[in-house]
Amino acid sequence: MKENKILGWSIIFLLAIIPILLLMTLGEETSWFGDYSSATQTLGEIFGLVGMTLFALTFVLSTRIKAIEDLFGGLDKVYIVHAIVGGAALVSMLFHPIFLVLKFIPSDVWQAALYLLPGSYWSVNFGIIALMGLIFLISLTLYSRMKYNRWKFSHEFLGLVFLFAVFHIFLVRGNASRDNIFVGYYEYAAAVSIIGLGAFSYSLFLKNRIFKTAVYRVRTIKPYKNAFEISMVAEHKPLQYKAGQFIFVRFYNRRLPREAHPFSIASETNSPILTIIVKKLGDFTSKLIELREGDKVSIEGPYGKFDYTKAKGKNQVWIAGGIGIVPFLGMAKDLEDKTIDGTISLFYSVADESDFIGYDLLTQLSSANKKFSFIAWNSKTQGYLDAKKIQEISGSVKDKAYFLCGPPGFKDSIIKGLLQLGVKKQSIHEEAFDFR
Amino acid sequence: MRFFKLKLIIAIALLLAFLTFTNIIAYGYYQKNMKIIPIDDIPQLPKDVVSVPQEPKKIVNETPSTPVKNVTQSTPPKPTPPPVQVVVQQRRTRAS
Repeated sequence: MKENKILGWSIIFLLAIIPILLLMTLGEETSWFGDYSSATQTLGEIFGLVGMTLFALTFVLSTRIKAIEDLFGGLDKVYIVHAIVGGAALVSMLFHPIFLVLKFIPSDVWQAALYLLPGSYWSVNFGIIALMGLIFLISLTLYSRMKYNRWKFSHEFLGLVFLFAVFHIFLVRGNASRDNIFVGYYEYAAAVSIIGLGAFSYSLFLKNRIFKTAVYRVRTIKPYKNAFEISMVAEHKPLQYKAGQFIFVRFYNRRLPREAHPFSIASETNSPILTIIVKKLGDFTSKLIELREGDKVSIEGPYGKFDYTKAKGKNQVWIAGGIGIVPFLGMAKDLEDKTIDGTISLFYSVADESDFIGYDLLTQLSSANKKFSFIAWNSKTQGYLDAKKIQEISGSVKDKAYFLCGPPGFKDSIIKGLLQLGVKKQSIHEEAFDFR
Repeated sequence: MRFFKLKLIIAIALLLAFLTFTNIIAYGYYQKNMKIIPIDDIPQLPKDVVSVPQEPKKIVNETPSTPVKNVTQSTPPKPTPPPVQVVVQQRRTRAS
């Protein structure tokens, strides 16, 4: 499937507004917005149903299905969409009780207050638990910097939260369910529940069994100052991938947690020796020193659309910040076997000279290939790399394709600068390797 | 910062929801437990009525231990005007 973000967002939008469309087309003749009381009730219920739909879609977006990845231009982009849709679901669900209690405000505020507090009606209590759970888990994701494995574990409880929300929409006696705000309410609720719970169950229980994960063995481990280079060889059939893509890696070593982590591939396209370079960022990555030659590794993927060949014929500028160099290492190695139509300039910015990874290799590749130039940038001595400095070194910034990978702040400032210099947004390709 | 706008929007939404919910619960609880007297129901007093402080009452034992006989008053009690007690019931405002 061809990348089409507009189509992807349109599908999400249309699915989200289904309750409104159903109300308009299948609603009874009764005026649902006739007076203050019925208008607030209807709005409350619509926000709840829109929120439920978006909530179910977040699970679909996290299934790593290839068609969805293709639609949004890479799994990293899908996870950005997943985060935005999850946030929209939370906001929509917050409006659900707000509108419902507004109904009671003019007559009896205590009645409104009772609506928000747990009571003897379990149909309502399920909704309150679901909303509180959603607030807690999404806040944890967005505002805390907990360890990846703990965060991932906590995120899986969203399935339970969704289950409570399902109980709520089936058991509660609102206008929508009691009086059929639109014909087919229960069919719609059932569809949303099945899609959400199905997608969640698939991700949690079935994905790893259905997807063919390739089995590799650790071949070498090379430590850098702040990173490890891990080379692996396939036990059976090697993985087919393109330079610049990423994989989910699970190490089978009793000293390491057995969860899968995403890492960019540092080796050239379809190389039988699969290499990743992991920066010591947290608890898990620091423990990789425990890895031993011959350790079993299970690999899921490849994912991502960070593909320089899609800008064939154009002069390209590759910009890497820190550990963001990893996909470019594979792409640069790829150039050895390929004829390049245009020129490629690789800017590699680090905070300190000792942070350079693959410096010698990149220097060697640029000496061997006249169309490939390597510009090492030490921000400690040369100042921060920005779009104007890139323009000064590589000439005109227009009519070039840009590929960026690095920390979000680094990427954002360069993209902003490039856009100000007149570069078209379509010419900028970025890799988002932070999944939270 | 990654997802800065999303984080900001959700933080604002959460704050607004929190304030709405807590205000409704607090005011609802207050309304339920406090009797609110409408301002119109408070009796209007004439402007020249002044609050007279009440003298502290002497504690008199109503059932004396010993019977008292031939108790006479040397001077008749001075008539005192009935004490006027002004009670202003202030209208409660919304607790927030």
